[in-house]
Amino acid sequence: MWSGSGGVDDVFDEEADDVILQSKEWKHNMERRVKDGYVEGVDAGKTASLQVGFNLGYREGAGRTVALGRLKGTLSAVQCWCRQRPAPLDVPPGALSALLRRVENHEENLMKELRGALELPPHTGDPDDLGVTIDKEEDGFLLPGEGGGSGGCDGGVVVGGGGGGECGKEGGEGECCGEGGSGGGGGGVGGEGEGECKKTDCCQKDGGEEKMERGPCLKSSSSTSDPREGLEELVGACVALMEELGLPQELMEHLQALRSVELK
Amino acid sequence: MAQALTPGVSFDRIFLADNRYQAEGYREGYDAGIRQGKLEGKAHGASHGARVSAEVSFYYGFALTWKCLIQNKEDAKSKKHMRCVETLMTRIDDFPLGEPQYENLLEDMQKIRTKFRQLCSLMNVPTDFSDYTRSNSQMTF
Amino acid sequence: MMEDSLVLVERFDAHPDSRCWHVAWNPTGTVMASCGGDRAIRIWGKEGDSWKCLSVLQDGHQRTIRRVDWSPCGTYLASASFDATSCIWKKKNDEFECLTTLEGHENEVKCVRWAPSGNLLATCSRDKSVWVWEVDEEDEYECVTVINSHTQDVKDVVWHPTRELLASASYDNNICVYKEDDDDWECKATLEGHTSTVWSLAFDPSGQRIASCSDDRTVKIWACRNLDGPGDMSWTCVCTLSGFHGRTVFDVDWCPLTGALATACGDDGVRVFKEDQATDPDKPVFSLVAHISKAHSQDVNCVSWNPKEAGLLVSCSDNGDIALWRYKGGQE
Repeated sequence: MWSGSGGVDDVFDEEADDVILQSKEWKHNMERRVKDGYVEGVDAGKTASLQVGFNLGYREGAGRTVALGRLKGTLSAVQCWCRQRPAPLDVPPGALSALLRRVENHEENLMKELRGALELPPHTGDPDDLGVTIDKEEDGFLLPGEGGGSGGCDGGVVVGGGGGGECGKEGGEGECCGEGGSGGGGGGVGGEGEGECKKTDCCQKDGGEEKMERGPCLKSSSSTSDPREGLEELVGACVALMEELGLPQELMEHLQALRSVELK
Repeated sequence: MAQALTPGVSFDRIFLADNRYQAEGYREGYDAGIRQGKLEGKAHGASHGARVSAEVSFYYGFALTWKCLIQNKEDAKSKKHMRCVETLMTRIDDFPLGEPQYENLLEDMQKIRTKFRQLCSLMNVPTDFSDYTRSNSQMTF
Repeated sequence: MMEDSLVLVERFDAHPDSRCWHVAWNPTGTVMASCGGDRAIRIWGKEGDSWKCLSVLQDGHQRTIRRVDWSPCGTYLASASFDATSCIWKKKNDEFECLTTLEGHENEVKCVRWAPSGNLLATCSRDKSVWVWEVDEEDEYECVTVINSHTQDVKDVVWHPTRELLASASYDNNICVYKEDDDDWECKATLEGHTSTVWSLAFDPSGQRIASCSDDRTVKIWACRNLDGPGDMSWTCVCTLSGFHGRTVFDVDWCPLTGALATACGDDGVRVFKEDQATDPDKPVFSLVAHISKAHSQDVNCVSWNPKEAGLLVSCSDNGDIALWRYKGGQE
């Protein structure tokens, strides 16, 4: 009988264990549910907001290069114009190209910053901060004509689709190949583009390392590289040079207006 | 585990609890996903937008400057050149720089590039003088 | 049944160790210009009974010269090169000098052709565009328009024999026809039907039809009923010559004097087709009337009828050869 009562006790304990076990399992299961739901939710949330974010960023990014692009265009045009003039100019010949170089540097740095933001590890800060991204694999941005989905990393979205290199009859000198170079992350760039391509690679690498030290947020980048301030200076230098060259007043006005140019 | 429970506790209840927890997780995840997606999208968008705008704005600055340089010339040739400059500027004016989902983005971009090439040809400017017109470095998007 | 004959008149090595891409008769049919992979243009004239090289034009291009074309007056020669430029050469005494280089295309220029008026020039390129250039009295060339109607490499451009109308052929399998409209050139018709690259085009002497040849091994004849009408033109394919060519058809030329149609093929053959006179002009029938199966030892790239001497045909090939043929129609 002893054993019997012991048996009852045992049974009781077993039941208690069972209940604990069940409630543990229940808890575990529910936690898994929460987790599953979370993952699903993240996916759905991302899908819902990527395009919105892309559009926002696109507009912002576009706004940041308008003035620089125009400035560069102006300097290039003036440079071409000077080269075509029979008479030498009053300004030192290198001044124009030096200034153009400065503008290009500035633009390069800005691009590096933007690209750098793409290469950084995830960061869940203020979404309104033009910062970070994680997943290079990410797709789903819609640019018209791209047929859904960018290839993720820089330059992955392809213009006009395939159009693979026509390596046939006229490719005798290897000339027709490489048409498809625009596909996938700049992969198949043909012959002539080789040097260009390598250069970009280095830039990206440099940009990446630099960024690591500076930290993830674009807007937090130190005031020395504040784009607005740099632009001020560049516009000023450009106007001064154009005046020296005696170029039309109208051009100066356009240049001055670059300081406050905005997207429509 | 359903068998382990007394028949009085309905399967539905468990099922509902399951759903409730999952829904809770989902809501939380969704909010986080929205934030993440927005960030990622924004970074990608900024890079793309900056490149498109840099290129198009370059063409605009180039055209505008030639306009200032030649607009007072009266000869027939300069007038023809002005027409090309103006067409290019109009095309750029009409191009919505801040709208990545503009339906004719690629076509319009192509037209702008070609018009720019024509302008270079008219102005006797070597066509590969700028990064944008060197075919292999032409940006993709 | 083939009653007609194509007899070899002469053959010579025009571009040794290289491809000969194209050969063109001058407007009077007395001189030929050829071009090729050796970056040279050669001018050929008849001395006694045989053809001799009169002149070699070098240093104009840095890469393969794909195409040459004589101006309607015969004083100028235009060349299109894979170096992305076109050159205009002017004849001075017995020499040619490079007058100007037309720049603007992004990459390989595939074809250049003068309009019948001599005031316009068209070029096309792998960059998918067609450019129209205007020539002024001072021999200056300016681009008047750039047309982007094709989605791929543009292989050939050809002018209508009498009107200011232009057609182009492309790797996108289509043919586009353009007209000047309100100060700009616009594509007024897209001819769809070939299933692979369209390599070359030729208008018939009346300008009512276009012959096109393709990588799909066919030749198609297209007819237009409203050339002058306002709005878009309507071109329809009225005949397809299939089953005749073993490989890609690279070139087609319509004889301005006899109406015979010659083709250059990747199977090394040269063929001549004639339209059956009895058939309905809306549903023409063309018959193969002459065929030289091994006209050259490699791909035949170009065929061209002499503009003045009926039945004299020239062809050139990947092996660098030029061959002259006499075509004799059986019924005539």
